[in-house]
Amino acid sequence: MRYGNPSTESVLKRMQAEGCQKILLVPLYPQYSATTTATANDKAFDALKTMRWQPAVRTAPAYFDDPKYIETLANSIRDGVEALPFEPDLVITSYHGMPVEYLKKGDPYHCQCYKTTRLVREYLGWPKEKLMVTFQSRFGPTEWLQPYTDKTLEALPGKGVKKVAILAPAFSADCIETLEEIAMGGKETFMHAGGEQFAYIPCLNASPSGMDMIEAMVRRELSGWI
Amino acid sequence: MSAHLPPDHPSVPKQKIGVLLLNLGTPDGTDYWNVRRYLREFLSDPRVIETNKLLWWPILNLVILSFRPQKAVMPMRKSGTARKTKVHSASSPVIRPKA
Repeated sequence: MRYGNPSTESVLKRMQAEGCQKILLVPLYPQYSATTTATANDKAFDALKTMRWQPAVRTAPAYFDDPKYIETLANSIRDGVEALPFEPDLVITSYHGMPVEYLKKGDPYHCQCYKTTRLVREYLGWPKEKLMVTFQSRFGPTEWLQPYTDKTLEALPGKGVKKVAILAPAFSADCIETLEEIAMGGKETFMHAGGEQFAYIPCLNASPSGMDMIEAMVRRELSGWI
Repeated sequence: MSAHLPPDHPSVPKQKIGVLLLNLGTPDGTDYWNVRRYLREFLSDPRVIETNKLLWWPILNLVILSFRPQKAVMPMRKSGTARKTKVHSASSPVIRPKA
């Protein structure tokens, strides 16, 4: 874990002590950002700096447009929507936000989020207006990536969109941000603004298809080593 | 291989290939100090907060860490995160939009 436990350093050292001389680092962020992918790798490199006998290390790239990821995510959306007791007017892919300034400095995250959603929409064969991108978790006074998730949820019922499903594809596992901010807080915002039906589609988590996707990626990135 | 090693050579583990999955992390518990410790680590990351360090330090330590942990504790208990999920992983309790 980049923050908290088990720390990247403690696990890397344990792996090394157990004889791992080649290690593949896999940041579980589908879309690359300096604020997530890079800092996760940084932490691993910090640990390498303290080792006399460093293992050989590879890093797996972001997988925002990996066909297997797109297929897995798209299927989770289709299955999630089919299981609902209502037909959503709109499905929202809500990504974690960041200050616009980071995008202007060259962070490709924004573009990768849009590409993930576009590829998923193409895979599903849905019209453009059925699947939209928003950015959640704005914090502080500066401008963040737009459209904002909360403002969008607030505005949609007034535009006649009263049934939505929402998911958070930037997270590989559900967490407080997806469960509390989106599934609970988002629902409150939407219903309060006049929405009628709201559903949260979970992250891939440890689902068999999510794990298959990670396994396929890991096997590909290990090529030449195994 | 050990047959070729001098008798006082430390034991050599079998060579392996490792895969390390990296994710965000979560506080060790939902109490104030655990959440505070986690937030401090998260919000002290210059990759996350690019604001000038001299400006950011007082904001983080005097303002955010004084109030945010309490604010984050309730949602964490409500949503049952912090080490309860099977893949306990990503969590960013602070960054909640201001209403």
